[in-house]
Amino acid sequence: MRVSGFGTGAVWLPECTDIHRIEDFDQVVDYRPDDLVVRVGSRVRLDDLTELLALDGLCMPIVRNRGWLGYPGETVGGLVGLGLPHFHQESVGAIRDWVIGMKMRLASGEIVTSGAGVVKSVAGFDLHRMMVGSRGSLAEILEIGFRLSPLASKPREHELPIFDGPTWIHRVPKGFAADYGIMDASGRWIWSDRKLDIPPSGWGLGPGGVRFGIVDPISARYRQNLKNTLDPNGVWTEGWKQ
Amino acid sequence: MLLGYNEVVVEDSARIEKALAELIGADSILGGEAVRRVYSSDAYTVERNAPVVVVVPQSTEDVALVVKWCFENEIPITPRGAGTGLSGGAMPALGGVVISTKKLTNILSFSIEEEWLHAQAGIANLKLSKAVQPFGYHFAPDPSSQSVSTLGGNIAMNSGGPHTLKYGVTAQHVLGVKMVSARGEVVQLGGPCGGDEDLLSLVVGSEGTVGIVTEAWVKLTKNPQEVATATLCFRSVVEASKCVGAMVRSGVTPAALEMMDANVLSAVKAGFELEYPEGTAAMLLVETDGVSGIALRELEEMIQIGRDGGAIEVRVAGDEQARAKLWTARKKGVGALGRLAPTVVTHDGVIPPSRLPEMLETVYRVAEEEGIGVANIFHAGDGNLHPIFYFDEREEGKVEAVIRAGEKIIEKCLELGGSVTGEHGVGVEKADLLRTMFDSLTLEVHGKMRGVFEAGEGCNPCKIIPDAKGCIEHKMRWRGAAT
Ligand SMILES: Cc1cc2nc3c(=O)[nH]c(=O)nc-3n(C[C@H](O)[C@H](O)[C@H](O)COP(=O)(O)OP(=O)(O)OC[C@H]3O[C@@H](n4cnc5c(N)ncnc54)[C@H](O)[C@@H]3O)c2cc1C
Ligand SMILES: Cc1cc2nc3c(=O)[nH]c(=O)nc-3n(C[C@H](O)[C@H](O)[C@H](O)COP(=O)(O)OP(=O)(O)OC[C@H]3O[C@@H](n4cnc5c(N)ncnc54)[C@H](O)[C@@H]3O)c2cc1C
Repeated sequence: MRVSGFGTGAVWLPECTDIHRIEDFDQVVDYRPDDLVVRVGSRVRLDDLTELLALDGLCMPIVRNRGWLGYPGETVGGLVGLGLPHFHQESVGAIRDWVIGMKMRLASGEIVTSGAGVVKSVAGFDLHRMMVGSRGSLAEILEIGFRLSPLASKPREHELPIFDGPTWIHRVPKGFAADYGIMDASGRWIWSDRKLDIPPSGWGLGPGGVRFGIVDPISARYRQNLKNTLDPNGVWTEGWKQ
Repeated sequence: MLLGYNEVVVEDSARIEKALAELIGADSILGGEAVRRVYSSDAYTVERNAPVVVVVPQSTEDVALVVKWCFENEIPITPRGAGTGLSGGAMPALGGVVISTKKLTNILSFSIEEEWLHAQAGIANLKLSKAVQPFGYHFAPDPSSQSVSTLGGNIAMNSGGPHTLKYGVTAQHVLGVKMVSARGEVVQLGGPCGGDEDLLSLVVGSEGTVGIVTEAWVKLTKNPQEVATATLCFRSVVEASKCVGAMVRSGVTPAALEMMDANVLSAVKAGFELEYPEGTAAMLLVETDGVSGIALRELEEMIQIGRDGGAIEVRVAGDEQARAKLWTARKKGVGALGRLAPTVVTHDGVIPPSRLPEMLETVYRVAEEEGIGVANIFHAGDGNLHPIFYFDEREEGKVEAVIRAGEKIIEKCLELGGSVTGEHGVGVEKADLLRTMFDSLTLEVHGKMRGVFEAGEGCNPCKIIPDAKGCIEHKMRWRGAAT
């Protein structure tokens, strides 16, 4: 079974027909513009949140691709759950860097929290950062806390050509000269409609939940331990194919 | 199979020293009473317990040999960097073996073009920045202890610093680690191109409970073209803290926004020949940075907010020397407090910055109720308080009063929607307080994150998670053990 937001990330995920949509959790839970923090239900639409924050001159500086704005239903749970790199993440930080707290529900129905409602906290393990990009494979995300930034600090949205078909995202060493694809401003990420030949230290993500690059076998074992710890009965479908 | 760890006592030391010396050489083993005393606490000195043996391995392989032996012999291990931790994280709670990264201090490689640096975990934070300074780069996390605290310690505690307001805490600057697991296996997570961010998110901030980081790849940050710095003095703490709220909300993200109260200023005044206007109750230090022209303009905006909020004096740094002078009170403040009393204990908590006025009133009231001195010097922009209690620990009941005061302050932080710790970590100091922030199921799940890395209770026992097995009976002994 796959926990789902609006479903626009499906192209990046292994096939799954058993879709589970979370009930409720579609409200802003706590918004404190004076302290640059917001906490929202995971089903809140990203567009609605962006609009709300803009009224106060605030934003999450996670820069989306303009060509992708035609998907107005996408949810903050989906953004965080999929955790794709974004075009300016080297300069303003990855999605993970803007998540400060989370409430999640394990397959057992038990509710677990992590992080805090302030921009800085080192209490307990950072489960909320770990969950970014977990692709619904570990637990349902119910609420997410974000830190915010002045709107002026947000880099401009980019007009990137959208590949019609499946897209591959590559993380490469900066000096790597790609002969194909679109490179971000930092020269570290390449989007392409095919899988490129990249140096061994690089890695990447592809359609259908593919993750490629060298992985230490011990880290693969730890990842399996993580899955066994949070979802011991395998209720949630895997989000990845290594 | 592990049945749980018991305390390892000094009588075991000869056997352990001998076995470890055979593995990694006698020159990597430190023994004796004086060593045991030094390594019995970190900078949180009110709780102490002596290790049986201290080892100073010289390579990842040596660390792995020691850890594997300890694992097989059910001897608890405690990783240690420079010992500047402020929550008892490097205190060997059940005795056993302290594994110090003191001899793992090399920079292994760096690439300016790719903006990363690869170093051993025992290197002091500041040395990273110094190595790449000639190329116009630095390592952004800058804990005030940066001249001594280690990369491994910073990673274990997810340390912050004055400039993490704009640049983010350690977690945002770690691309990868090489780690010796609690069983003695060597694992690499991420690397110069990052990767494994899910597992790294658990390792960073794990306070040495999932393994020993021996090497790390970190991001390098380009130095800003322009830095502008000012100090603003106020007649009241409330005025200063209201200005912090207004600055945070202004649309400018300062690089640093720090606050010091009159007690800190009087301590530095005496020690460093600094002068502040008569009647100053609090001082803000504001720094902005960025491309040429912008930083100064942003600083002017901050200064205007300060003037509107009652600043009685503003000093702006005209050059690098003047800038260093403005930073003196902030950088030397904690050390200077040693002049006020024989013992200082630094607390740590976080609140939403808009609640600073109310919070600081509570801090002063609690200190008065408990009959101890308090000075405040902290990262105001992100609401990260550091009330520093100064007292004489030889006076009956003072240590208990300090612990009580800390708990009352943390309760208030939580009531205002904050956190029990912003950067000093949980260690042993706050393990019990975590219960006020998270319910028992949540704590159980957090505790299980050690199991993800196959770390049992022997890897830095009794830290972070309250009431870990075997720790309760020992706790009474550490508490107030300062002598
Ligand atoms: C043409 C196109 C371009 C795109 N470009 C970008 C881009 O530039 N940047 C970008 O970030 N994304 C991009 N996306 C991907 C995607 O649309 C977004 O990431 C979006 O935010 C996902 O939202 P959703 O609600 O549709 O999520 P879904 O597709 O429903 O879910 C995405 C993932 O998150 C998990 N998930 C969803 N909700 C939860 C929850 N509550 N708890 C746990 N897990 C959950 C799901 O299991 C799934 O694995 C693009 C998609 C398309 C089709
Ligand atoms: C004057 C002063 C100012 C300070 N200012 C700040 C500040 O501004 N910001 C801030 O965040 N902190 C600050 N601190 C706290 C402290 O300096 C940090 O927590 C620092 O990161 C600890 O580093 P260390 O090398 O001293 O680690 P230690 O104190 O030796 O250890 C800290 C913890 O990390 C673990 N550990 C150490 N090395 C490793 C390793 N290689 N692998 C795994 N675990 C390891 C230990 O087991 C322990 O749990 C300050 C402390 C002092 C005394």
